Amino acid sequence: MIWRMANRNLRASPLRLVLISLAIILGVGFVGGAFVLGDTINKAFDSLFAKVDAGVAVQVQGVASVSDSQRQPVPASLLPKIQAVDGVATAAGSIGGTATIVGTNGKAVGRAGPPTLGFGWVNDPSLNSLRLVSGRAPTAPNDVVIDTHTAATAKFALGQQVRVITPSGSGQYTLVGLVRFGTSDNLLGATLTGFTMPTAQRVFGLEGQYTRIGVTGNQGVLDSVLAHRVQAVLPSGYEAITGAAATRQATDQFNSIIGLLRDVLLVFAGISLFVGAFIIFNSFSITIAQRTRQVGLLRAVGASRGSVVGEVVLEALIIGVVASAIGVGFGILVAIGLEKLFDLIGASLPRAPIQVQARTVIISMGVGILVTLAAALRPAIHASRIPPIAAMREVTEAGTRSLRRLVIAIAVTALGVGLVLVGLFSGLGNPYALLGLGALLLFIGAALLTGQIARPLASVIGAPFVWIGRVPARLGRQNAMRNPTRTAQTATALTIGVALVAAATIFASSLYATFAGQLDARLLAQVAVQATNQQPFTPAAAAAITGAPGIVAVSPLREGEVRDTHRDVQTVGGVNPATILELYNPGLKQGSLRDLAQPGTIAVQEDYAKSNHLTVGSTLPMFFAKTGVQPLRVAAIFSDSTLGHFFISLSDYERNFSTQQDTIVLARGADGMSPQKAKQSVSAALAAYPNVTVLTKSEYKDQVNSQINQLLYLVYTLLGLAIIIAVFGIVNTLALSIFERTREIGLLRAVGMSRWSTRLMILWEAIIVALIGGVVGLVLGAFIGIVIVERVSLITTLAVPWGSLIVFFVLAGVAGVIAAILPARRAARLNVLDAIQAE
Amino acid sequence: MATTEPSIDQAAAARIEDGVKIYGAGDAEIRALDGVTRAFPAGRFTAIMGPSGSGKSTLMHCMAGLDRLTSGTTWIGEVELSALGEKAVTGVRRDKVGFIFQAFNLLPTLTALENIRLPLDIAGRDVDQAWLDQVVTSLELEDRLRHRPGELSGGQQQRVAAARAFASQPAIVFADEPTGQLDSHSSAELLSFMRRAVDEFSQTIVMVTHDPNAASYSDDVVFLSDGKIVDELAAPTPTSILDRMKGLTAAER
Repeated sequence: MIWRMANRNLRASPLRLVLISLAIILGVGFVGGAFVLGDTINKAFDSLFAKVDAGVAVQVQGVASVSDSQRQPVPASLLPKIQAVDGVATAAGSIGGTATIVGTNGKAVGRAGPPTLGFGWVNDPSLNSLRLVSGRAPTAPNDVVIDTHTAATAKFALGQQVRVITPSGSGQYTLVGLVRFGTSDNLLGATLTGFTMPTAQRVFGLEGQYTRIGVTGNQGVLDSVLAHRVQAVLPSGYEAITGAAATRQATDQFNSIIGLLRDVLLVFAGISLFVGAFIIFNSFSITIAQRTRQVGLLRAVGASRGSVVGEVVLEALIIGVVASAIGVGFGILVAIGLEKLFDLIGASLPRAPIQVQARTVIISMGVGILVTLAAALRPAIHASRIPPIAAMREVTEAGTRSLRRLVIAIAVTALGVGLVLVGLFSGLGNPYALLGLGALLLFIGAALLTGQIARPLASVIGAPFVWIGRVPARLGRQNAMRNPTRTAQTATALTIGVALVAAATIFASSLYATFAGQLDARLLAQVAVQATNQQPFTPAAAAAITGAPGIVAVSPLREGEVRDTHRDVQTVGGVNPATILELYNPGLKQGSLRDLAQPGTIAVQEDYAKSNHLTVGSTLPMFFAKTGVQPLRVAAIFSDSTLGHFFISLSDYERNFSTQQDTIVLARGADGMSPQKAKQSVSAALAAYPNVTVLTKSEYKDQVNSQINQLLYLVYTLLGLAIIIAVFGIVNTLALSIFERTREIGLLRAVGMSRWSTRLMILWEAIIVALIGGVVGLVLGAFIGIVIVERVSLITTLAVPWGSLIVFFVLAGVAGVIAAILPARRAARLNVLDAIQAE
Repeated sequence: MATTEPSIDQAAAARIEDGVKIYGAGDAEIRALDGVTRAFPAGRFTAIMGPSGSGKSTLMHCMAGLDRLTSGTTWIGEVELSALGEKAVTGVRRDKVGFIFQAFNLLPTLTALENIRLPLDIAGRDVDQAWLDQVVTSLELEDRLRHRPGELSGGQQQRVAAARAFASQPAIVFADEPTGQLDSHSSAELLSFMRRAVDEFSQTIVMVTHDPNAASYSDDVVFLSDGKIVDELAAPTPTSILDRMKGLTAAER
């Protein structure tokens, strides 16, 4: 019986069914898509590295005493010892580093982000991760092989001369072969270059050393047994791990990036589902209000309260199950689409069949169904409270303002604000969980509060429209005001999207304002040199600038990781003590960066110095992967943190780190030289290094600004989903309201309202509801944005982008216009006679 | 069959000629109007009566521009409605026609005054304040103008609807069972006002009703049966109407 009722009710209004299903489908789709994409990429990398390392039984490498990036090279002298171990078939060293290929157009190949990898050619095919596709392996010192994808995009042919930039500088090589990484033609857009082993040792500054040594075992010897035996002959600081463990290490690096990507997608999927929940809640509330007489009749003829709840919950369950199932299917499409997107931007993923794991289906379906049920529960309980007498009564629109409701609304909002603040500032519990829960409560509280103030809000927001739009606008405004709870719930779906967009924008513009302010105050350099792909680059570039005409001060910033006495990993910057103060103002408190010229000294940022009770002259022991613990004497204490918290001299850096790569190079010309002139001089000196770009201070600011904006646009795109769902919500409410007001519309048309005016009436209502959502969203967004900016100590300047906020407000109105199109058409097309006579 | 046929030449507020309205097709075909011709002279109060399904509501809907004839023509004043498009018909309804329906005459979100002025506001026309005051006064609505429909009794609501119908001094007012949901006291109040609107202010009213008592307020009663005008009665009284109706049902047998 309740099954039949639920079924009937669902069929009664197909549009509503479609709209709320869409909300779930989109949300569940992104949950599913995040998992499917993550699993697929993981699988792809797992199988890629498993194949690449298939022949490796044991791998010998430096211990990650500080971090993975600081593993020390293995001395070539260990090779014979390893080869002598019982059970070892072959052993060979391999080398990896960065090598940038210069295209035929004179520009560096590759894009910002993916690494440019260089290798030494290993003759043992089972220990070589590169596979020859055509041509031959490098044999002469100037031979080079590159990956097929790079050769194709940069249009290189075998036999051609190729310029490659390595840590030791820029060199010409002959292209003798094309390779790929294992079975993959394109490794996330990375470029691959292979040299002969001696050349690789020379260009990567690793003479007599290898990055690691690969070992193959004799038949019948277990990898783990062999690893033990090899470990026994190694000096301390080196480890022997099985091939399987090496594969896991290689894939773990990628997997953590993929995991991050998945988590980001899941956060946005969660936001979409939350918005979807509002719409489901609202939709059920409205339909139950419309069915009051029907429910009353059911109760009058003897249906229990339980069966009324059961009917509504069953209805929700059917929607939840069907929509979630479709959502899972949609999620697979989302994953495929994102994969294609990676292809499109040139960062192709290794191929693997799409992975749809049971876990993905269970979580996606479960989340979708639970959200639907949770959102329908309150309306269901509300329905069960309808008394049998309601069957006889005329349906009245409930007055919803009461002190009790107001108090609850304020309490929930205050709790939300409190949790957000506690999460951000108290340091108690998990800040992300508290912030998330707080934001959730904040939005629910805002929905309740909006219900209390929707009438005056609609009245104020609608006032200018009534002036412009006359009778249709006045009627639209009155319709927006007549059921404040409904208006508030509909608007809140949009509020969430607008608030998050506003918060993200405030965060981004504060980040930029802080950065630009620091740059203005701290950066004395006129130009900055960076790699085109934003990766660290060869120190040869800095050397080339030194002595360029008119350039008087040059210093690179070379960054590496160490462990401090708390065993925390810290980043130390190597700088030129003689010139750095002409390029950068660190806000010296004690001592001077010039004093870093003294070997074994370090400059420390004020906050760290304070908490560790350091003054100039104190000793700060730091652990370096290459040289072990070094007792460094504090030579200076400074306040700024733009370029980092620790500085040492370049010569100390060279002594204590095995790789030398610059993050950025700063330079300035003589007094009176314009930044443009300085840039020209530096650019001319860097003609042989197309892998780097020279930026003036203002260009550098612009670049950072555009990088921040790119991230911001990505966030906008992902939040766009939540806003689309909110628009569905407005469409749904309008459609249900129009259905409810059929007779009113008929009457209006009878007494002479034109179709066009009828449309305008719906349009104005939608605009006013959307703008309520927009206004509340901007207020909440400003709050969230500002408290987060206050919390993040890195951001010191609060910048509120008024222009953008006004644009968001207008766009909220546009969302209302879009939402109104279909319902307004429907309303205008109602047959007057049918409408007047409608029950 | 028609006894006192008013001449078509006389100034008619509304006319219908050879009006045919067919619903459905084939076996399910229903001829709701089957060749109706009648002029409704200005300054008169005409009642249309007939049993359920006789076509009286259809006749009113087609004449008022709420529905279209299958064939035949209708006029409001000199405007031929059947020749106009949807938009123009809406304009005619707004500018020349007033409506009083049986129920749900008012927008719940508007006050009584706003409801009364609604057609004028939609048209963007100025209010003839003296006329509006006169209508409001004679309907005894002065104290109710700021109330919303939910705060008014059924009789008051119908009086507001009547005020709205007459506020724009339309060429003709169509009333569809206006007293159908009112008690006898409220009915009498409304009908007296309608009578006075015709007598004192020269308004024109066409009212569909099945209540002989209500019809007795009119100048002429038109009897409809099976989509045809079967009889007319001038200067009716409740008794004469009842007699005529009995005669009609007898004739059918």
